[in-house]
Amino acid sequence: MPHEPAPTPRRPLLAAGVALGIGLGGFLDGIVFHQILQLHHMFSARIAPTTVAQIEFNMLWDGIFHLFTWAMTAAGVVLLFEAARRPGVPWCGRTLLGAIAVGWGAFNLVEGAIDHHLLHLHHVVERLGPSGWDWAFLASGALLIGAGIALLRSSPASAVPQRGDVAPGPVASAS
Amino acid sequence: MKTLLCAALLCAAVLSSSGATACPLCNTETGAEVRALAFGPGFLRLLGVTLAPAPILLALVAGTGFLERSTTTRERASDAA
Repeated sequence: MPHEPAPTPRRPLLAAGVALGIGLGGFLDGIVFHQILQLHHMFSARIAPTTVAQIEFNMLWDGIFHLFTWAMTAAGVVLLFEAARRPGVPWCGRTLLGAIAVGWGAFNLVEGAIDHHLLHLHHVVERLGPSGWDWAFLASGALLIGAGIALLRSSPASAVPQRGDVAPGPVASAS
Repeated sequence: MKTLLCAALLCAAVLSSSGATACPLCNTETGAEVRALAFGPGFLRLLGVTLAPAPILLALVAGTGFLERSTTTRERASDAA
């Protein structure tokens, strides 16, 4: 008898969580580092924010970056809504939290590697230039991914029937 | 369709508001300098490098099946047994 691949009931929730993690992690970076602490801006290693025009230039590109994080967060909300409508998806806070941590960590790793280390668009603490803070940012990404994977491994992979769940099947009458 | 119409009306209302006409980038000397810096010949390059992490992150969202498999292997194996 041919062995069918196992279904992936958690996948919609994982996709939603990862998208939300990327979006919210990006927002946290933008709000805390770019706006509140003003440690760096999008192009602060290329065009130093020392005049009003140069600050506004960096703010504009911070805004483009925030547009991407907003889009990822919105996509995460849509995916979460879709996951909630699907029967059989295990509705587990630990799974969602784990996926969010993986997404947030991935954001820190990818953004840190590309923007801080490869392209040198900015550094975590711009007045120091390339510094240990850039590596700490990457390490925070790796830690978040590790924590997220640990949470996912300890959360249920299959659905536990919840109150109000409808068993999946061919009958899907809306009347 | 109704949602799209509402969104279009909302955008039109926001863009025609007094807040939008107060845009400091639009009519000032500094604004002209910023526009020249940001939307000059290097605009596409700036956009490209700003959004450079995006394809990798989007691929990660699309590839959550891999995450699913890598975090449930042991449970599935024990289920099968």
